[in-house]
Amino acid sequence: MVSYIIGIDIGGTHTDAVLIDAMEKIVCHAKVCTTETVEMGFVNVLQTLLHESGIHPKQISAIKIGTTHATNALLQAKGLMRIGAIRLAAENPLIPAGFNWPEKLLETVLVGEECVAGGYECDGRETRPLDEKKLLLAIGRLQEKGAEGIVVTGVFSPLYPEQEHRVRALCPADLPLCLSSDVSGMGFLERENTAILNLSLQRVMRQGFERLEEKAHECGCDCPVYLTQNNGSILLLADALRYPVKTLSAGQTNSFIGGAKLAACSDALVVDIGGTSTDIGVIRSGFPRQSLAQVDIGGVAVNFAAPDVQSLSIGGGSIVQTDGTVGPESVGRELKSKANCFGGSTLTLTDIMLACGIALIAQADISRIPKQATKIAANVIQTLARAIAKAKNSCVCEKVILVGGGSQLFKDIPLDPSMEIPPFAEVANAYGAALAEVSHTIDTTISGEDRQNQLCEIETSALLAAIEKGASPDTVRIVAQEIMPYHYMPGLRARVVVTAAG
Amino acid sequence: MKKEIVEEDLAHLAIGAGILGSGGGGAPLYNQRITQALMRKHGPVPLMQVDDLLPSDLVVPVAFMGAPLVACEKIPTGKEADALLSTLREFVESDRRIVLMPAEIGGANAFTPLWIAARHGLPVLDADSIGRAFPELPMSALHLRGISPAPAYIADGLGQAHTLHIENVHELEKSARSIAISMGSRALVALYLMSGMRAFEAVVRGSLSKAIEIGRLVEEATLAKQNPAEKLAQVYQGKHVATGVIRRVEHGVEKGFLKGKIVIDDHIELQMINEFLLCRYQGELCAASPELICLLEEGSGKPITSAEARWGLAVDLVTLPAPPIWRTKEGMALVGEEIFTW
Repeated sequence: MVSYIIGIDIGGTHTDAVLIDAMEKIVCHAKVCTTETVEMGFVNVLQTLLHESGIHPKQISAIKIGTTHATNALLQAKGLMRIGAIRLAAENPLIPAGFNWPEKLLETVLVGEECVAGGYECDGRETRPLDEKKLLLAIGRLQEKGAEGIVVTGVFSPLYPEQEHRVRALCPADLPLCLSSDVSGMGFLERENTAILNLSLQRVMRQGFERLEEKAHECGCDCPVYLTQNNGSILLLADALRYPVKTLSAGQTNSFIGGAKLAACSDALVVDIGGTSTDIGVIRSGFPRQSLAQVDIGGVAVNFAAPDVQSLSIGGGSIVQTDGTVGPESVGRELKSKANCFGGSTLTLTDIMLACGIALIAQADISRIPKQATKIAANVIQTLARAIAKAKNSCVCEKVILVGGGSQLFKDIPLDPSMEIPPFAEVANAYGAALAEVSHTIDTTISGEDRQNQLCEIETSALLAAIEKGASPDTVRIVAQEIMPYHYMPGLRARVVVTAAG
Repeated sequence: MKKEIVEEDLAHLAIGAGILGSGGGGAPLYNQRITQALMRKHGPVPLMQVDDLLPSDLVVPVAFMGAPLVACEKIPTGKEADALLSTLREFVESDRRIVLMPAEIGGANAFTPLWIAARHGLPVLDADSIGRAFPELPMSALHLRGISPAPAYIADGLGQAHTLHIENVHELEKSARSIAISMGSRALVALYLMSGMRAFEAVVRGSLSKAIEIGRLVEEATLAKQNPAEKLAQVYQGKHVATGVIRRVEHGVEKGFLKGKIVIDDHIELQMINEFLLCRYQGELCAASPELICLLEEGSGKPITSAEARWGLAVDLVTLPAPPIWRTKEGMALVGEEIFTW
């Protein structure tokens, strides 16, 4: 029986889906409006695909989903669980939990913080033994303040997680708990922030996605449902519900991976032109390059790798001001009612491109567009071309690939000599989700002596672990390796992050 | 003349201190946040000029010693400062005014006296002891001027403190480092304490306001879409050497120092021992310690430390003149580029 995979992108406005065959070819695609509940939109798009392709639901071997659902919940501060933060340290650090968070998010999420004796030094000595009695009292106090879940962050816990594990053993089993060492790495504040966001998002993820496997079942499918994660590989639904932070930048990642694959290129620049913004990302060996700069989600400094993205406030729906500047405001999904060319009263980038004879859209009336359109269009083109040239400087790049709803606006414009708009560019995000591989990442420390041997051992472990998770032994390979030497640390240590995927 | 440091100055200070750090000194982010948190609680910090010092004032240079990586886990508790100050007060007449000062303006330690000052209601002196950052303790204008480093004080986040009566600065460095390691590789240190009179002759003046001004210029240039490296070279009589991309990074940790080199665009080479100390352009020596050699991230003007440099990063290389104290014969003997073993 021929089997297929479905990739779905659930965005704020639209839900896109593709059906791909074993050769990773797109057999069918669909687009519906994102509904009030994630479940309904999921069922809609699934049924549309099944109906249009005519294939039998039992032929679907996997459903892979990329979504901005969690990110949107953060940005709107809606549906989030209230959290109490506990710090394991000898004395309370001078920077409070939630420092510099956007006010609305802070008020919604964090009910309070407590410091309990504990924590480790860089060489593994306990700064203080864990004060178990005070811990339970602290949890009680936070619960009285309204905490629905507790996050524990211990000093140096990513290297020495034992105290945090002890907290789990002591904590009442029905109290939602998140250990910072489970979620992220070095950098106390960023790790604490990531853990708090993670626990806070669990409810909204559960509400949206918990029953998707059931719903898929009702449609006749008996395959697993996965969510895609920030590094472009899949997460079991159960893991995604426990670690929502791992899905926060999956949508962008999927667009980049999907775009590169559509153009059959593993080292490329992908330019995703949407309704409100354009995101430029670098693909290296088929995976998006990770950002090493401080990553910030919704104004909160976090501690996980996210795609290295250059974002410009230029999109198809960007509003053109009277002085000729384009964006950052945009009409977004209301393009077809608000833009000048569709009879609306707002001048958008789409109108400008049409006026220059650059793009053609059915039902559009170009007579209402101003004469400086050519100059405005030239500026936008120059801005994009410059951003692309700058991004090209820092990578090995065979092609520049345009994807996204706004890509068609630039069809005949040479933003770059190697530019390409592949077929199905508008559903690159859903395609990227469909392609998501199985991966395993090891993030650990090695010592300076005997470094090569240790690295080989870690690589082998990563490859084996990926295979155990389901990666194909034929395609499994090391896709990322990063070594960061520690300075001043005793033992000539370095931190190593290795990812294998297939 | 700036009379106080306020929250809005902190982002500028982070940039300026990073640039004066010449690639070293550690990234200032965590220190910046602590200072911000304490300023919100206690208010702005009074900034004093050297000319306003009374001969009887006690100027206390402070800095954190230890592993920069540890800094992002072991956040100060405030007790380091409390213990340090209460220990040194045992040796000082109670009516002497204490004025804090950054021991080094280059890098994260530019902020150290600020949050302590906010917490304890003390003023900070607009000065430092180096004018930039250097890898070793003896590389200080105060050493050059013959000021004794002792008694020195060292304290940790648990409130434990030591007093070190060690006159020889090399021996003091060894002891202080080993105590800092026993304290978890992060400790607050005060050394080269001096009277207002000696400080008047010996310190490098205007360091904090200069760092803030540098940061402000970079921000202004970036907003006006000018190249911040160009702007800095213009204002401070430096040189915007090149704009390019980092193509090779080779470094490792040796005896606690990050040593190695960076190659930009194949023809520009930077050598480092924590700080960038040497620059070669097409094989020719183009800048060397004690001149400041700074890498800025292209576009944002954000200074990049030697530890943050990576392949593919687009950068602006700018060199700035050495602080005047280091352009003397004695200064060059201590920190000129021949001194550093490659």
